[in-house]
Amino acid sequence: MEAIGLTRGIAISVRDVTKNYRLYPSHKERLKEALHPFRKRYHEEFWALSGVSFDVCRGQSVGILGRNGAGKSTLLQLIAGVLTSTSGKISVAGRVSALLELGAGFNPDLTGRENVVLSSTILGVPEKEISGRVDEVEAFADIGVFFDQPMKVYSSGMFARVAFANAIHVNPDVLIVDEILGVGDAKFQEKCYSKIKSLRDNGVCILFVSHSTEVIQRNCELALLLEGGKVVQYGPADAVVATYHDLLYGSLQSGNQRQPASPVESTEVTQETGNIAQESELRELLDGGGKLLYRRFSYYNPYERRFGNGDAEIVDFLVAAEGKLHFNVLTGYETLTIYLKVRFHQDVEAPHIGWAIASPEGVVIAGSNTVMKNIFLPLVRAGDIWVYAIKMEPKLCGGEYFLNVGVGRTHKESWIFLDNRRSLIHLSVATSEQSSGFIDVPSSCVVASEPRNHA
Amino acid sequence: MNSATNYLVSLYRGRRIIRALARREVVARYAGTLFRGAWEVVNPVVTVLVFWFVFSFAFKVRGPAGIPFILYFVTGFLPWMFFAEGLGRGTQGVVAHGFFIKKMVFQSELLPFVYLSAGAVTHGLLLILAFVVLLTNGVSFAWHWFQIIYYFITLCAILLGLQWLLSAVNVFNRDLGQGVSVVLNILFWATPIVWVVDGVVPDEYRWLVSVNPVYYVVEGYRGSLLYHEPIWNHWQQGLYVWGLALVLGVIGAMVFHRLKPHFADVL
Repeated sequence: MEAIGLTRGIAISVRDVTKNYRLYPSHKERLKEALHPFRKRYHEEFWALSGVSFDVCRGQSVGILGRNGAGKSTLLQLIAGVLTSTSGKISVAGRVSALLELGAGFNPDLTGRENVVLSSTILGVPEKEISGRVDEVEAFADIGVFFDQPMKVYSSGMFARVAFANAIHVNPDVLIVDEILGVGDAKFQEKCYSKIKSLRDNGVCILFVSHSTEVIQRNCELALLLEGGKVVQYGPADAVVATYHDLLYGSLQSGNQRQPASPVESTEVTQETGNIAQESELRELLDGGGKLLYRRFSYYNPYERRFGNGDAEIVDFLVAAEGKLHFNVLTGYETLTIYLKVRFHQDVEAPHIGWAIASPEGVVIAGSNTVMKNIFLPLVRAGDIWVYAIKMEPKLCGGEYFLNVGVGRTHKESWIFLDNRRSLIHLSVATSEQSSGFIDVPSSCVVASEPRNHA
Repeated sequence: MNSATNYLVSLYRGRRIIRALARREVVARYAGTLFRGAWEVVNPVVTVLVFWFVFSFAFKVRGPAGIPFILYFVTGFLPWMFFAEGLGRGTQGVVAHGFFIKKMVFQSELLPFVYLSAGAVTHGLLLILAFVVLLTNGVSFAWHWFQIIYYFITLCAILLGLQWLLSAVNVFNRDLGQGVSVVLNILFWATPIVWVVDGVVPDEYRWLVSVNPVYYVVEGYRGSLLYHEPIWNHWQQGLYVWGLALVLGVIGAMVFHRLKPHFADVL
């Protein structure tokens, strides 16, 4: 953790850093290995990080992306100086303030005030500055009388407020935030992000872990993508987020689509292969081939929830955006077509199809069905296989969405679910500059009246 | 040598942290319970009373040279209690502060000082009680009483190295805590706290008693408070104990320094 050897302007320098954990089947093996006369190995090695190198300048903020277990938190803990790297060198200029987890270093038996005083002391804030600092934290956290209550009675939101307020009010040179801002309410989050922005403007270097690519794109100019403990990409946030999406939802042709070089050519190629693929796969679905086509696409969510009485079965499905079956991240403005292949095991006089778009939290943003839309689908017989196409133009804002689809029928004015598949399809929409929230509602603003001159 | 100097400097710089954590430790011990920490004092007082009753009335044990057993026992038991508590709590120190070590850049090598300072508070309270008992039992005040400050510091020096060593190893092998309480139990009876050396231990085995550094401190407290005996009467023993403390301190600091980078991985 020394600042020696850092070029001026560089706040964090990480050079070829490796972190390896020894995994023992149990504590017994750890002891056995320590005492073994012939140094027999009882551990498995796990490389949490290998060969990681990058620099961050003062005033830059870097988002760290990667799947669960990619090594994000380990990297932050190394930079914070909590963990020690197995090899390599990490240099950080100035004071590091790390918010590694909710309630970082807080004792639940002490009050918020006592904890803030204690952590200021440990972080080395001079004694005469502490009381002023505690007042600032109290004002920022804004949790009223709870500040003088033991932290064990706090709600998780209050905890996050005090923890965040505490982390930013030590005048850090480097601020490390590991995925905790999700806890506070929207207003407090907004306050945190604007505070982060002002810290950045004052030259504080910020490292950020978040699973929300939107948050990273909004708050960071740079991003670092980790996969399996290695750096996949380090560069402008937008480009790295795109690679991250490829990694998460990557289609069969992922890879060369997103190369910035000669964009015209690559679009053409994509379109062509897209059309061919669409035709063959859609034809297969319509012709009733036995293959399960949805398995070829990454939008299928294996953690879907499925229920129904089993009289019908959604056996296969495809999604097309603007007629194309192969897509990664949507702009949100595409026309979506969902093809459902349904096998019926019973005669159904009037089958209904339903659909909905939901947020990752399960909130239905928009939904409808053939009954509400007054669409009458023809009678089906047991053993029939039908393919239905649902068409929608949702105009989605940036974020992650899930589609629910279902087949049902009405019986004495109530719904009977034949096969309902919640969160079946996962769609990822790129952040747009035009709107925020879930749905881009057509909206505008004009001057309605100009000021009159009273003079 | 340079790194050793750095180590000492970092300890000195950490004195504010020690004070803050020790205060917290004291508050936690005294404020957590209904009777506002009365237990911290009540517990040893009751122990003293039980031992006094059993040994004085049931076993008819007498102190040397006609000193009442209660005085002989109290003056030996107080430093022992500080030692036993310091070792027991100190061994768990790093593990108990795991939430700091995992989440913050924290100088865990300061922890022994935290436990020593917090223990000193209880020790001070009990000493005041002991003074009352001494004065009401006909022992007169003498300047020798101030010598217990020296003996207390000696005891802290012994504990410091042991706490570094044990608290670091305890992170990797939690059985150690149990082992320490067994050893403390044996050591309690191996130290002349409730029994008198003269007439119990044959002369050829005396060295076995004096190997134990706690014996020096226990006898030192008694010498100062009861017999009004100056420190230099036992200078060879003192030299041995300080040498031992120094060796333990260096070994403890080295082991701690070596194991510290791995704490956050294991906690």
